[in-house]
Amino acid sequence: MEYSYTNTDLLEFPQKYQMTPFEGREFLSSYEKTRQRILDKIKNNQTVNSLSYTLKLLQKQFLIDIKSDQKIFVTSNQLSSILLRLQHQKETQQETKFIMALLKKFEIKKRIFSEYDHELKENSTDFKILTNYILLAAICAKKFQDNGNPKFLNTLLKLNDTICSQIDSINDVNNLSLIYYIINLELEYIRDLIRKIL
Amino acid sequence: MSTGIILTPDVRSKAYIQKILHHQIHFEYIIFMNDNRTEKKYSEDIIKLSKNHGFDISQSVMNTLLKNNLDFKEFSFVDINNPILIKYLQSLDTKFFIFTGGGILKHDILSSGVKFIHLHSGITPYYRGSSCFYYSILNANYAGVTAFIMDKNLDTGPVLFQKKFQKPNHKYLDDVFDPYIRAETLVELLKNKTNPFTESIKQNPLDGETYYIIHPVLKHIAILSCITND
Repeated sequence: MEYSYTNTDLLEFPQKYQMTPFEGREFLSSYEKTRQRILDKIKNNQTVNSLSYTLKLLQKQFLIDIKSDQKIFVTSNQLSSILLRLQHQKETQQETKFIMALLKKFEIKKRIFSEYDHELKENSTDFKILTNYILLAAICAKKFQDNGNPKFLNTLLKLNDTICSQIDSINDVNNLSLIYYIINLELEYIRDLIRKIL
Repeated sequence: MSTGIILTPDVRSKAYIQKILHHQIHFEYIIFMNDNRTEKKYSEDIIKLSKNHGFDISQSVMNTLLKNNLDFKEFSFVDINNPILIKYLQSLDTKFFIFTGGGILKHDILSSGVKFIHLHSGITPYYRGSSCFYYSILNANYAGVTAFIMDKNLDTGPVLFQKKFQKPNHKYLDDVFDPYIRAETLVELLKNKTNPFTESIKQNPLDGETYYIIHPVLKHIAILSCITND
């Protein structure tokens, strides 16, 4: 059996996940194998940086102060800032609102745009910046770790499907290190859930 | 209280109309939005299981209506916001209709004076949105249904009745369990209350949680939990 949800370019052809068929326990094994193959591929092709080092690089790259009266958001700046803050403390109310709104946008359109206005309306037509999907996935992983709400695990799985469908086009070491980290976390959460429930 | 039902050609409507007939519940008006889509074929296993749950999934809505000599008004579209449907509903003396599907209610139908009762398979405000029975099984090992009067937001209307169900011991959650729990709740709402739509509890739209379509990995874990632990 093949885990087919990462076979097509999910940025070009988004997966709606409506009425997906039940394929038995083997489906979960094929999902795990497919994710593990991605992890092996990353590890075999390059040195994976530690999470703390990756976040340090992220901080340097996106060291931008997010102002509360900002009219236009550059998505990657906003997401990096939230991810960095989440490592040590809770996000602000405004940041929670932004995460929940962006999560909803992704769940509906399966795309994240490079810029939004203060009402979270798209301010760009570019939805192909993979860093945005990776950063939101890292935030979802952290949120699930903190509150156990399956809503975040659900979006994490879909974001990781999208990222895995693009894996051959990703060369940036920082992005690959973050992907390695979030897929490992996702697998850990799913294995935990299976142990608890089944 | 005068009540109508708007049916659509799907499993949910099959369960609703067959359960209603079985319990001899009368509707003043039956409306059937029918786009003549091809009927899905089901395996013998699912048909048998649906019968054990009080409805026959292999019987189309049209068959049931005709076989039981029920009066109904048919429209050739499946769209709850269609102006032809809105005009027709406004001409009737019934103001409460059971909703089975046909899209999200838009402004025109919401302001038409007609009230729609939806059977949502999740206990609100904790489970709003999509695939809620799967999340509820994962989180709390049960499923539930909320009957509410629809408003402009998602699953936030005044609550009429709620009922919890044990998770099933089979794998056909979309085709059998979901329509079954909704139909059971509908029957209980209509049978056990003299004025089922007058007493309601207001919801705070800011409370609770809204879920989105479940990922197949989580869906598999939820289904496997139903057939592994029995």
